[in-house]
Amino acid sequence: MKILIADDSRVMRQIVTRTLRQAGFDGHDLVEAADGQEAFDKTVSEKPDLVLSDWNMPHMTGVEVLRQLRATACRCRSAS
Amino acid sequence: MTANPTEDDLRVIAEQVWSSYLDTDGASPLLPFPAQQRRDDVSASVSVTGAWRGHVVVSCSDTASRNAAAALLGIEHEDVTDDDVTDALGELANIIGGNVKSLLPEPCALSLPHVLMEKTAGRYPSVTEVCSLNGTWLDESVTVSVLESTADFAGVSAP
Repeated sequence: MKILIADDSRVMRQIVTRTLRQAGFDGHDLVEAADGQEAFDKTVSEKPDLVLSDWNMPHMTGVEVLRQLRATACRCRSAS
Repeated sequence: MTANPTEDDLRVIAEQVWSSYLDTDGASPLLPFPAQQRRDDVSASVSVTGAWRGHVVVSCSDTASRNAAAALLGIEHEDVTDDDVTDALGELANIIGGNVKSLLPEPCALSLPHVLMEKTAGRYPSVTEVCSLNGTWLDESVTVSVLESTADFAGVSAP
């Protein structure tokens, strides 16, 4: 499974990565995005199975990323 | 009415945060007594608004802030930049603040973190200290404080 971790905090991306590994997700392909625009771009280009996204990020919030993805006919389901 | 958080609450929260993020091998816990010299070189805070209003502040020595950044990012101490320190202490305040918020009356909202690296503790007007934990981590000073606002919404001190 490919998982995209979107957060403008490098520390929080590291914490999420470590937490996923501790929860047994260490064999998966982890991709990172440092802001909302990068999260949108990498979701389109990398086609992750799961996106774990921060809310408050530069350029686009996590919610705006989700709206943009839905507007581009991306098949996605959200949970908060 | 939920009681205000206590020093014991802060100790439990700090133990959880340190064992999860800063002391994962159990070799360097946050010790619950003051360091030989308290230093507030770096301070990070989040503000709480809503049914309870105030601030949760994490302050520490410059060395402790760099140790925290190195531990959270998994990098060497000498590779830590000022941006790393800002990021690390901000997230630390955010995590600890989130835990403190869970003890406060609802509804409350947490602000984004604010970090000061000017070798001076932040100043918070019209507050009273509810509780604090003066700790020692790797021989360095780390303090967590909960400050409750004494001003009403118009900014006038409450009686």
